[in-house]
Amino acid sequence: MKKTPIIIACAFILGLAVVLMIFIKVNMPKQYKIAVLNYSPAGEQALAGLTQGLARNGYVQGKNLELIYNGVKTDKKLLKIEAEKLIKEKPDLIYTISTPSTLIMKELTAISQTPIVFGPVSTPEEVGIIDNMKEPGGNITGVTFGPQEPRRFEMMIKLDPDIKDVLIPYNPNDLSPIAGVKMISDVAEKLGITIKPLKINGTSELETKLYGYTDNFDAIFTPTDAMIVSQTALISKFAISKNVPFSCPQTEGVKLGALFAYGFSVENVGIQAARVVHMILSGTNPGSIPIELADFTLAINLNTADKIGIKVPQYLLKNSFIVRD
Amino acid sequence: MFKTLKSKVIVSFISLIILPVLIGAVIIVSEIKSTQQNQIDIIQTQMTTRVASEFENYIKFHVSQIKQLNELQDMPWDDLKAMHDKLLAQIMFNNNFDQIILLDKDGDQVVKVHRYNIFQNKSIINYTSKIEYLFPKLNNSIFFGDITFSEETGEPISDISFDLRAPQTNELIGVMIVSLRLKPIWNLLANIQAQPGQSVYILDSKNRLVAHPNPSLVLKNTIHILPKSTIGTGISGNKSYIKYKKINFGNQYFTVVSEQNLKDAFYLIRYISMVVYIVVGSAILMSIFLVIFNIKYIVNPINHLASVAKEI
Repeated sequence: MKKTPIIIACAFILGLAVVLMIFIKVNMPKQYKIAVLNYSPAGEQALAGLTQGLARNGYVQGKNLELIYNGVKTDKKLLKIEAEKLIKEKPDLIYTISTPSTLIMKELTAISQTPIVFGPVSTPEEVGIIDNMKEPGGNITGVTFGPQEPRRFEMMIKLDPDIKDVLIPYNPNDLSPIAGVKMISDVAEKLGITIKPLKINGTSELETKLYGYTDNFDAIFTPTDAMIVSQTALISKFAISKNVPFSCPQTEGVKLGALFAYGFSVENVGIQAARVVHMILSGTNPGSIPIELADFTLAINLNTADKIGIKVPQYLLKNSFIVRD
Repeated sequence: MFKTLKSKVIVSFISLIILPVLIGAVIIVSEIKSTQQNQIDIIQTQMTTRVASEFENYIKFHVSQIKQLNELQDMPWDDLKAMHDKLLAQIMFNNNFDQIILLDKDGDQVVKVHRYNIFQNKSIINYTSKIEYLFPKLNNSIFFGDITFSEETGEPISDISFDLRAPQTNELIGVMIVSLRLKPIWNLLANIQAQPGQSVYILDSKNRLVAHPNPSLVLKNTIHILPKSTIGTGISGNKSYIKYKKINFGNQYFTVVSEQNLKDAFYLIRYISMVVYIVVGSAILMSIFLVIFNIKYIVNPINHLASVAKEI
C-alpha cells in the first residue's frame, strides 16, 4: 500500500520521458538514400561534383546521407544488373551518369516513380529520356549539354582553316553520340567539311582502330560520348602523333592533351545536379523541374598547339582558359 | 476562509508552486516569441540586402566588362570579320552573355554572335526605330530593356544596350546590345543556405518572377504581386513573413524578396512552447499528485488525530 505512490510517480516520470523522446525523434533530420548508376569512367568526376554540391546543401555522408555507389559499370549487361540491385535498396533518389544509365533507370522506375536526376546526358529529348526540356514530366530531370557542339566544330575550323576531313570516333551502342554525330554532320555540311565517323564498340578496340585507320583526316572531333570521353588521354596522344588538332567536349580533356574544348566541366555538372537533387529532396516534383543546361567555356592547350604547329589567334588567347601541360 | 488544514495546504501549493510556474512559463514563452520575431526580421532583411547587392554587382560587373572590351581593346571597326571573331571569343569565354549584337552609328546590325547558335542569315537588320538603339544614342546612357525568356531554355535574359563613342570627338560610332543571362542568379539563390520554409526570389518591374530557387516557377511565367504588410500570402501560396528590397537600373527595377512560411518561421517558438508546456503540465500534475498525497497521508491523519484528541 505504501509503495503505490512511488510506483505512480515512477510510471509518470517514465511516461514523460517517453513523450519527450518521441517528440525529439519526430524533429530529428531525415536520413536520405541516394543510389548512383554510372556507365562512364569519366563520370567519376561528376559524382565527385555531386558529393561536393550536396555537402554545400547540407547533405553529409554518414550523417543525413547514404550514397550507394558500387563503381562504374562499362558493360551494359552489368549496368542493368547493377541498376536492379540499386532499385532493391529502395533509394529516395537515383543519380544517373550518361544516357545508357538513365535509360535503364527510366525503365526500371516506371512503376515506383523513384525520382531520377541525370547528369551529364546529352540530347535527352532525342534519345527518349524526356519529352520536353522545360517541363520534363514523370520522375526524371537533370543536367544536359550539347547545343554548343556546332559552335565547337566551327571553332575548330577557325583554328585551322585547312581542315577538310574530320575523324569522329564514337560509340554506336550509345544513343547520345549517335544524335551528336548527326548534329555535327549538319553543321559540317554547311561549312563544306567531310566528317568520317569511326565506330568504336568498346574501349579495348579504340587504340587498334585509331592507329589502324588508313583514310585521310585533318582533325579529330569527339562527340559527347561517355565511353569516348573517358579515353581522351589516349586520343590526345594519337592526335599529337598524327600532328592533327583534336577537340573534346569536356574542359578537363584539355588538361589531358586535347587542343581545345568548348564545353562543360564534368565536375561542375555534378555540382549543378546536386542543386536539382536538393530541390527534389526538399519536396519539388522532379517532372516540374526544367532540364538544366551545363555551363560551357573555351579552353585551349598551348603546349599541344605548339606540338602540332597551330598558331592560336590573339583574340582567342585573351578569352580562353589556357592550359600548359 | 482557509480555516481547515486541507484548504491551507491546497492554497499553499497553488500559490507557491502552480502560480509561479505558470507565470514563469508565460513570461519565458512571450520573451522568446518577441526575440524570435526580431531575429526573423533581421534575417530576412539581411538576406534581401545580400542578394540585392550580389544581383546588382552581377549586372554592373558584366556591363562594365563588355564596355571595357570596347573601350580598352581596339575594336577593329574597319574589319567586320575580325570584329565578329573578337566578340565571338568573348561570348565563348564568358558564358553569362547569351548574345551580343553590334550596331553601327546608323542602327544597322553589323555583327551578331550567340553563345551556341550559328547565324547563317546575312540580311541586315535595322534598329533605327527601336528603343535599344535610340535610348543610348539620345541619352548617352545605358538602356535596360524588358526581361525576355529564352525560347530554348526558358531562362530569363536581360537585354542591355549602350552607346559606343569615339574617345576624342565623343561622336556616336555604334551601339552594342548585350543579352545577359540571369540564370547565374538562379544558382546564387539555390546555393543560399536558407532557413526552413524560406525562399529568396526576384521579380521584375512587371511583377514577373525572374529568379527563384525552384526554376519551374520561373518557367511557368509566374506573376506575383507582393502584399502591402510584412505578413501576407507569399509566392508559395502560404501565409508568410515577407521582406523586400528594390534595385534600380536606370529605367528598370527589380524587387528582391525574402519570404518564410509563418509555420516554419515560428517553428522554434512552437517547439520551445511545446517543451515548456509539457514541463509545466508535468510539474502541475506532480504538484497535484503531491497535494493529494500530502492530504491523504499527512493532513487526514493529523485531522483524524485532532478529532480523536478532541473526543478524549
